[in-house]
Amino acid sequence: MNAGTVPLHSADVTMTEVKPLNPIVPSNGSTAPAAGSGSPLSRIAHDFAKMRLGGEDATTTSISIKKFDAWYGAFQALHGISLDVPKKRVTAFIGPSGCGKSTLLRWMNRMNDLIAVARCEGEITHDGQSILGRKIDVVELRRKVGMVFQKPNPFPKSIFDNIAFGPRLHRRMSRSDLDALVEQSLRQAALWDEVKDRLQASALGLSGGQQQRLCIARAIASNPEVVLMDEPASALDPKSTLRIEDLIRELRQNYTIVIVTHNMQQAARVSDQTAFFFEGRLIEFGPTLGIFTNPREKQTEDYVSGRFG
Amino acid sequence: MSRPFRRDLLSAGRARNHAWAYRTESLITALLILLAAFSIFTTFAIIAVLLAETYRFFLMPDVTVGEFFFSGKWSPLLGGEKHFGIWPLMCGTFLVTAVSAVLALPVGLVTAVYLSEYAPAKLRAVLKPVLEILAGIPTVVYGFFALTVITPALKGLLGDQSVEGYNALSAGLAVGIMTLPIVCSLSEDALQAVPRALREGAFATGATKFDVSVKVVIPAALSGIIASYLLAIARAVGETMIVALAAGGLAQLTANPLNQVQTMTGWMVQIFLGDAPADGVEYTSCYAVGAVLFVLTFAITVIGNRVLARFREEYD
Amino acid sequence: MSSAISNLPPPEPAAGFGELANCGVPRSASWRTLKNRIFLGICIVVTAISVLLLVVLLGSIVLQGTKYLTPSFFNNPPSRKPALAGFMPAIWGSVWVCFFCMVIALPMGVGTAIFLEEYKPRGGTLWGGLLKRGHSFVQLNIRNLAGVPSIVYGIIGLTCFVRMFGVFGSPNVAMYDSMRVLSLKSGESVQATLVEETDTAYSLMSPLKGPLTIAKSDVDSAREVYVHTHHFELADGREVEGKLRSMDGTLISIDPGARKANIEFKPSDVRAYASENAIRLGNPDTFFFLRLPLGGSVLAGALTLALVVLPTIIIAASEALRAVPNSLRQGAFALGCTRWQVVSKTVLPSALPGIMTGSILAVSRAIGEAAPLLVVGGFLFITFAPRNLMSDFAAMPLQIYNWAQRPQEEFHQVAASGILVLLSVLLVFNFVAILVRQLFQRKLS
Repeated sequence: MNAGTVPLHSADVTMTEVKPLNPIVPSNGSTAPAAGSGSPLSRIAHDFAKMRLGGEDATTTSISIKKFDAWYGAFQALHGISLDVPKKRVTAFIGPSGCGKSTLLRWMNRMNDLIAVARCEGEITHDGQSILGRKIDVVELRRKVGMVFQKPNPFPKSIFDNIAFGPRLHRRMSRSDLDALVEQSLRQAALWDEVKDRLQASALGLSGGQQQRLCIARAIASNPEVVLMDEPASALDPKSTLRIEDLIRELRQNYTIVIVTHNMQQAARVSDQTAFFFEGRLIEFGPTLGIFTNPREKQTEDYVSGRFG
Repeated sequence: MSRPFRRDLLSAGRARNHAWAYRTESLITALLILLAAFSIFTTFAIIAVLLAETYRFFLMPDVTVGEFFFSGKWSPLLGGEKHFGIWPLMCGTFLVTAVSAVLALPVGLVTAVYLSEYAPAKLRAVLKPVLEILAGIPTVVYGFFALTVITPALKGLLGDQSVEGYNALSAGLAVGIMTLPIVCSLSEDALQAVPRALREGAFATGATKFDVSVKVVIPAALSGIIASYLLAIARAVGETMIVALAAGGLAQLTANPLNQVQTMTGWMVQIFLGDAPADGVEYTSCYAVGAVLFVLTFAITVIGNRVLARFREEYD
Repeated sequence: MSSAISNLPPPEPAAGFGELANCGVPRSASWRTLKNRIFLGICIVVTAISVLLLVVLLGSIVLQGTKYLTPSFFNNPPSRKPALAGFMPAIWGSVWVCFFCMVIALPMGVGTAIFLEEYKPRGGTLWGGLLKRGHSFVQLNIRNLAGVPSIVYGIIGLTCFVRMFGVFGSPNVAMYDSMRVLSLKSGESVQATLVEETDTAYSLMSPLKGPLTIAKSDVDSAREVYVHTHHFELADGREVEGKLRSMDGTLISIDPGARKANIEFKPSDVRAYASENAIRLGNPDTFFFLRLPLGGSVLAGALTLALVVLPTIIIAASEALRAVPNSLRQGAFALGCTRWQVVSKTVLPSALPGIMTGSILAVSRAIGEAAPLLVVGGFLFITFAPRNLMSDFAAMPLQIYNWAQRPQEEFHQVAASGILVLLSVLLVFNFVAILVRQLFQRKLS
C-alpha cells in the first residue's frame, strides 16, 4: 500500500468555481500526476484531499481483517479478504453492486448474526482482539462499533429518547449527565441548533437529512471507537448528502469511519483510504488519491474510469 | 370462399353482445344494490328493534329509567317486589371480562412476542395453526370445560367452601382461553408490521434481543396491540354460552370472583329458556339488557377497529 | 476548518466527550445477558402454556366423551336416561339450519362484497349520491357488525323472523297448537284438537262441544291449522284469550300471558270460540310448506344464523376480491366487457378459492353457534329430524348445552360425546377448506 500523504492545507475552497490548483508535491516523493490533468474524478480527489485534517501517518490499525470468507447459505459472498482499517481515518469501500462491500461491513459489527444463513471463516480483530466466535460479547462489540444505515431509521420515540437509547442501555446515568451527553452528541452531528427546542418531539417529524444526522448522533452517543456507514447518503437529496459528507469529514477527528458507497465521487470527496471490491474479492486498497489518480490494477482503473459498474 | 370474412363475423357478434349485455348489466346492478341494502337494513334493524322494545320496557309499570341505570338490585322474578337495576348484571359481566382479560392479555402478548421475535420459522408454522384451532372451537365446549374441569380444579385448589359451584372465575378463565387467540393473532400481526430496519437500528446500538423486543418493537406496535386487546374484550363481553353454563344465575353486586354471578347475557339465556310469557316485564327486559350489551360491545369494537386502522396506515 | 460547502455550523470538537460518555455507572453485561435469557425462558413457558391449554381442553373432552359414543348415540333421540340419549335430531337439525343459512347468506354476502368492491358508485346525481353514502357506510360498518354478540342477533331474529314484528297477532308465536278443521258432509265445520285417528273415525276434543267422535265417512275434507291464540266467550260474559294449557272433557285451562294466572273454566260455559291461526300454504307432510308467522322454525333459525355469519362472509369475500390484481380487470375492460362480465368472467373465478375458504369457515362458525338458536328456537327436547322448513328443530350445540347443564355426571359424559361429534364435523370442514384452497390454487396457477 502506498503511504502517500497529503500536506496540510487550510485553504478555503468553495463549490462555486473550480480554481486551478497548485501542483501537489507529496512529501515522500511518490508519483502523483500534476493537478489539472487526468479524469474529473482525480481532480475531485485532489481538491478534497486538501480539505482533510490530520497529517499523521495512518499507521495505527483499528480493525484488522485477515483471510476472511463469508457465505450466505451456499453462495460465497467474500473470498479471502485481508485489509487493515486505519484508526481515525475514513476508509471507503467501493465497487459495483453485489460485490460484497456491505456484507463485509455488516460482519465488522456482527450484524450478520441476525441472518440465519450467514456464516464466515477467517479473522477479524478490533484493537487486537478477535470479534468472531461465540464467546465474544456481541452487545459490547456493537457499542464500540456503531452503524448507520442506508435508510434513516429513527425509533418512533422523541429525539431525546432516540439519542439516549444507547447510553441508557449501557450505563446508569443521572438525568443531567444524560442531558449533557445528548446535547454533545447532537452538536457533534451538527443537529443541535435545529432541534434544541424540540427534543421531546417525535423523531419521525424530521426531514430525511435531519433523520440521518439523528441516526449518526445516535450512533456516536454510546462513545464508539468505530462508526460503520452503509451508504448513508444514498437515500437523501444532494443538499443533505453534502451536509452528511461534511459531517463525516469532521467526525474522523475522533472516530474511525468505514463507509460503503456506490458513488465514486463521494468516496473521492470523503475518504482517506479506499478499498475497491469486485465479485467478493478485494482488488486494491490504498490512499484515495492513489486509487483514483493512479490505480495499480487494471480492474480498478476500469471501474474508476467508468468502463463498467 | 364460402366462409364469411373474419371481420364480419366478429363485428356481428359484438353487436349482439351490446344489447343483451347492457340489459343484464342493469338488472344485476339492481340486484347487487338490493343485496347490499340488506346489510344496511341489518344495522338499522338491530338499532330499531332494540330501541322500540327498550322504550316499551321503560313504559311498563314496574320499571323506571332511574332505577334501571342507578339501582343495584336486579330481582325481577321475586314475585312481590320487582327491581330492575342493571348494575348487578353489569357487575357480573365486568367480573367475568376482567378475569378473562387478566388471563388473555398478558399470555396472548407474550406468546405473540415469542412467535414474532424468537420462534424459528418451522416452529412458528406449527404453532400458529394450533392457536387458530383454539379460536375455532365453539363456545359451548369452553363452557363445558369450565363446568367440568376448571370448577372442580379450583375447588380442589382453594377448598370446597370458598369456591361456589357456579362462579365468575371459572367462566372468566374459560372466556380468557377463548379470547387468547384473538389477542395473540392480532398482536403478532402488529409486531410483524414493525419494519426490520427499526430492529436493526436498535441492535446496532448494542441492544440485546430483550432490549429490542421490549423497548423498541413493542412500543412501535403498541396501537396494534391495544386494538387487539379492545377486540378481545368486546368478544368477552358478548360471550353467552360459557357464562350460561358456568357463571351462575344469581345477579348480585360482588367483587369476589369466587362467587356466583349473572351476566347480562346469562340473564337473557335464563329468560329465553324459561317459562316467562312473551309480553311480560321479564321478557321485555331482555331487550333493554340487549340494548345495553349492544351499545357496549359496539362502542368497544368501533374504537378497536379505528385504532387498528390508524395503526395499519402508519406501517403501510 | 471551513464548512462553507454546506453552511453547517462547525461541529464542536469532541474534547471532553469521552469523559461525558463515561459518566454514571456501567450496567453489568452479565445481568443483561441473564435478563435476555430469562425473558426468552418466560416467552417459551407462556407459549407452552397456551398450547397446553388446548391439549388439556381436548384431552379432558376425549376422556369423558368416549364412554357414550356408541352407534345408538347417533340414531336415538334424546332421552331421560343417559344410556339411551341420542344425538340424531340435533345432528339433522344442525344440518338443516346450517344448510339453509348458507343458502341464504352466501349469495347475499358475496353479492354485497361484489357490490362493495367492484361497483363503487361515483355520486353525482341524487340517487348516485345516496348510493355513495350508503356504500361508504356499509364498508365502514361491516367490521363493526362482525363484533356484535351473537345473542343480539338472536333477539333481532326473534322479533323479525319468529314473531314477524307482531304483524300476525299475539306474541310468543314460537308455539302453535295444532288443530283439525273438518268439513262434514252435512255442511257443518268442526274445529277441534285431534286425540286419536283410526282407520274409520276421528276422536276429537272440541272447545265448544267437548269430546267428539266423527266417522271418516261423514267427513268431506279435513285440514290442519296452526293456532297461536284461542279466543273464548264465556256464558258469564268474560272474554278469555291466550294459549291453550290443557283441554279435556271437564276443564279447559288457558294461559293468558303477561304473567297473569291461568284461567280455567268448564266446556259447558263456552258460548263462542274463535281462533287466530297461522297462515299456511302447502302440505305439512312435504317439503313445500309455509306457515306465517314463522315461529320457531328451521327457516327462522336459518335466517337468524344468516344474520350472524353475513358480516364474516362479506369480509372474507371482500378480501378475496381485493386480492385479485387490478391488471386483470383492466385487461377485461379493455376488451369491451361490461362491468358484470368483467366480474363474472375474470374477477370471480380468480377470487373463488378465497371466497370458498371464507364461506367454509363461516359454516364452521354457524355450526358452533348456540346463542341465537337458543333465542329463536328454545326447544331442547325435540325427538325428530326436521321434515320441512317450518319444523321445530334441535341443534348440536344446543343439545350439548342441555346435557351439560344437568347435574348428573352421566349426562356430562353424554355431552362430551356430543362435543366430540361436533368437533369432528368442524375438523372435517376445516380440512375441506384447506383442500379446496389447495385444489383451486393448483387449478388456477
